[in-house]
Amino acid sequence: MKKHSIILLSIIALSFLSSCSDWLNLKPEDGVIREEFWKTKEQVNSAVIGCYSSLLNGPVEKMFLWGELRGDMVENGIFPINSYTEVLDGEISVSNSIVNWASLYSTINNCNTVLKFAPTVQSVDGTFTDKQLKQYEAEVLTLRAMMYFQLVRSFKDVPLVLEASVSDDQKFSIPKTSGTVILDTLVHDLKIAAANAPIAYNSNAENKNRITSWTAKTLLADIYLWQEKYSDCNALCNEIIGSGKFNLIPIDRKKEYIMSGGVIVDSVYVANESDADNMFVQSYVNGKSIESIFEIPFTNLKTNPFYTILGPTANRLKPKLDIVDGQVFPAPLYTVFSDATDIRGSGCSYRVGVVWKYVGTSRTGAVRAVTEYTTPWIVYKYSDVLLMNAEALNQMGQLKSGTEAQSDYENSIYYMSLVRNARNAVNTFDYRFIPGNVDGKALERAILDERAREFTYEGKRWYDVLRYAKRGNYEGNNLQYLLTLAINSASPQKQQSLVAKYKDPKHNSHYWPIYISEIEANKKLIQNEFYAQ
Amino acid sequence: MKKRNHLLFNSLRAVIMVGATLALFNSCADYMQGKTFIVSDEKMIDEYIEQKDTSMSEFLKIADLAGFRGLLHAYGTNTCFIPTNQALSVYCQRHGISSMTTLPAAELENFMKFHTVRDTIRAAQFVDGRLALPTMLGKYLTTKTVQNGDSSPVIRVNRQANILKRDTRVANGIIHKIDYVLTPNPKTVGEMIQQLPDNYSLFKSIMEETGLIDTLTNNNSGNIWYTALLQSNESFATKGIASKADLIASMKVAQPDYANDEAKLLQLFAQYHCIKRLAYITDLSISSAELTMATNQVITFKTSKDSLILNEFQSLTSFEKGVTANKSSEWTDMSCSNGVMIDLDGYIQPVKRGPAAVYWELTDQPEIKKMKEYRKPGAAVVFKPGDLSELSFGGKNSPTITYLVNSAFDAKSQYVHLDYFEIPMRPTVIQWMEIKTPVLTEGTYNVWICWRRGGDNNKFKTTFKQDGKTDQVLPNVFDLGEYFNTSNTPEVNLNIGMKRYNAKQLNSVCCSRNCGAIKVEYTGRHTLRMDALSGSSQAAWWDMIQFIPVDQNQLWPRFDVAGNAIYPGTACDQIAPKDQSCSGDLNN
Repeated sequence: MKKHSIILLSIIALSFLSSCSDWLNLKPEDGVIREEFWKTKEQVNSAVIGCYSSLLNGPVEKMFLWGELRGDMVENGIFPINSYTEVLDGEISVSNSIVNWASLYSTINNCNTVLKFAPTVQSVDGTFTDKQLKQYEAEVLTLRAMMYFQLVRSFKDVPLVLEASVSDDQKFSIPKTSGTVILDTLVHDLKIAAANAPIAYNSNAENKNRITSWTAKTLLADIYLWQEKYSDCNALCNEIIGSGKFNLIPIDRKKEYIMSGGVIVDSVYVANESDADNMFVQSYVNGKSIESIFEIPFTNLKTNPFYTILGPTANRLKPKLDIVDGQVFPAPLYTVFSDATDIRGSGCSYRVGVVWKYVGTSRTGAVRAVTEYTTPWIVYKYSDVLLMNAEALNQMGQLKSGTEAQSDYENSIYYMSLVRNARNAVNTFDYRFIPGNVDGKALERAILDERAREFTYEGKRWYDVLRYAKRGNYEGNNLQYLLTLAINSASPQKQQSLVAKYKDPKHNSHYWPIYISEIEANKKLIQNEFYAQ
Repeated sequence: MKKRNHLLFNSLRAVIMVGATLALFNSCADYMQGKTFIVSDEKMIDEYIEQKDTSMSEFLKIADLAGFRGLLHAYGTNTCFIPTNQALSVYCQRHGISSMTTLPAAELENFMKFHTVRDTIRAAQFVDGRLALPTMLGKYLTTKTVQNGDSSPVIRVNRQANILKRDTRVANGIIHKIDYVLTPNPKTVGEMIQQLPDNYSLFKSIMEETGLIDTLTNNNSGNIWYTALLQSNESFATKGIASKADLIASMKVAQPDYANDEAKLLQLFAQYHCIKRLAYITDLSISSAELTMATNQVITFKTSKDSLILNEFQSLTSFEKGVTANKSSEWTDMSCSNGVMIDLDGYIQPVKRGPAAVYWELTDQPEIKKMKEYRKPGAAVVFKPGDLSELSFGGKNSPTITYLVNSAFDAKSQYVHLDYFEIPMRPTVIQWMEIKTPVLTEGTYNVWICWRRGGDNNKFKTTFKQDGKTDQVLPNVFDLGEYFNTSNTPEVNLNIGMKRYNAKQLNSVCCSRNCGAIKVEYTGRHTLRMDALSGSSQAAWWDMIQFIPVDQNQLWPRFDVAGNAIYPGTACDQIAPKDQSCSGDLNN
């Protein structure tokens, strides 16, 4: 009997101790933990690919919205949403989720993680060469710089996190670092990246969808332009142009003469329609074109966010036609040649009341189905380099005088014309410069307008105008660039208010506020003064 | 042994029982004892001031004296513009009051009412003008973001106070903390006009002479509002008007019907400068036209960049440049107790325009004109509801309208410029359609719809709508399936409301039918509405809508496919397409 009770008790006791071994095992059953990852170079490669993939979810949408909502080329669509409307009206609040930067920092953290652990793999995987390691590092350094450049242009000063957050012991309250300091860091990183990133990969798809040395250089040139280091920017642009790796998609143009009383008074060009269509399809349907330097691809499995934002069905935003059609894209000069128009205007940037380049399947084709929203997000293309070069040369010229200045202007016009000719831009009188007698300021304005046409709805508009306005610490009449934008973009009821806001003498209103949840979570973050009230 | 074992089980059972019973009772102990429970820890407006921001405490004292504490403490939706204690003391000093609390209760009540709006209005909802709702006093507050000198931009309320802290959310509303007291302008529009400086002397004298100033002064009951459009002497001078005599001379030309009645001319002028509605610049900038107090005379409004343009007139044949509102004038958007004033840069006067025929291509919609496919042979573009800003429609089964352009001329589709709309107008698809007309000058017109017949028994009725006027239902029910009787004489067809509108060839499917006459009571862009009544098959193809004054020739001109107006006796080879033969009578 005693034996029985002992057995009984031991069974009871044992039952309490059962199954502990599994229970205490903290390793996830459906994933890989860090200690088991970071063993082979293939794993490093997939971690790098993971950094690219993280762009698809949040950052692309932010790049579009941040660049366009404060610009003057979109307005509320058929189904407006409040968070967009408030930004369009210049009523930006700290609780508007549009200003949430979390997805960009998420990509930054992915990059930081690769930078931290990739070097450790070399000791485990003997086949992982120095060259390969540096190449991967160059890719993520560039991606990280891209995210920070976006943040600095949007928020001015942001926390600079260069360490991966992988453990609970780390500090998570990080104060803002001055934007100027961040940009200097990025310049340093990008010089390394440009030296180590591959010139080319094995396939065209990789050349366009992964960071190459050219991507790093283009980004660096863009940062130089923002920093107003024009000769540095010019030198880099010349290098990229000189590489011969990129080109503009050519088009055929037919010259038509305008006669008056038997005399030729002017001439216009009519672009070949199928060439124009080819440009559209190559750039916005197929992607990976000869023009593309770096773009983020989308597929049927992972579509871009534009169905909800721009598609004709959900339609949160639509083109602001009173500005885009007729002002940004001028009407043909002569009604007899109504076809002598810019191929980037109607049928490319906009058509039937929607932003066509993300919606259409060709210039006159059908709209995409919901699963077909696969237009790539073009971060940099060749025309960007040409126009950056034009802008840098123009600014260099403005610091000189006489024939030296005119020679810079001439070069500037040359690069701008390459783009204008390839797109059959309408030769309005703003663009008829007299060689040797070019007004630098007029050319400056012309380049900005050209950028508006070339990058319509590609997330650049607000930053272009802000770069122009802030030039030389808002020197002279530069603020007018922003005020004109305010007048073009705000609804009549908000126009005067928005103009007043942009006149903020501290210029804080030109940057976004920090999203409220970030401020609440990080006690060291100080809100942008303009929104702190 | 067995007994011990039993005992062991019994004691075990007892332990389990006791444990289980205890478990039921545990931890509830005195959770509710000795505490006050509140449903929500959100603060009311008064609690917020008492507990969180005592710099507005004087406001609460006033609320107590005025009997408003209840409102500030009760659940509800309010927006309070609350002056700080300092603001109140500055206000008292300036007005020689020892303390706000010494004022009579009625005055304090008005004070509270003017600082409170019974809805939650966030600063993001402010516009450059008045708030959407009046204060409890029945008067409106204005807001505007301003930036002066080196200071940061601020929101200014009622031209008096700046917002110090915006959008404090509390349980029963929103607080905007302000740096000065808000007081309504006690003067009426009439009184304000009388006080305008000398450079408004001519305008003032006309308003006084015509007695309109009394209307603007005496009607101050709180539910009648006026907007007065001011003319400074400088703005008169833009049209060379320096005296009453000049003004009368100018008005005689504009209003020939009253050329012999100078008093009437002046009265028309004065009335034309008053709108019976509260309209700040922002209200006008989202309005297209406003009826003035002069009978059937409207002022049209249009925004262009940062300007508000009045009376720009563009018909198919003429263009008159408008005048701009003077946004920087101190009198513009000046709130008065019964309205607001707007100052103008230029001179406006009521104009009488005779009726003029409008031969309008329905397909000339602004969105279509901007497309590459516009008048491109072979084009076909589908539009959904909402795609066309000036042609709205709705119904069932995904209604669409298709814009089409023929590739070549043929007798059955002689559309002007070859383009047309395919419209499935019938109760099962497009049930209704509203078309914004081109500018029609005042007068009486026949409305002719020019189309290619299609469908069977697809009928609709037409209504003509003008803002502020009674809708006019047109007499003729329209049958889109109707054929044109090619053997009748034009006169016989005209008597049954049909005509030939194509110049080139006569065909039984190309029709134009008179929907009936409309009376356009004031010049402007109005609306034609069609409601489907019957029919169940096919669509018809719409080309033009012609508005022809009833006393003018209804049959001519006809139109060719190049858009030319063709008059009787034109040779066939002058009618596009020139290489095709003609049919039917080209002279009658």
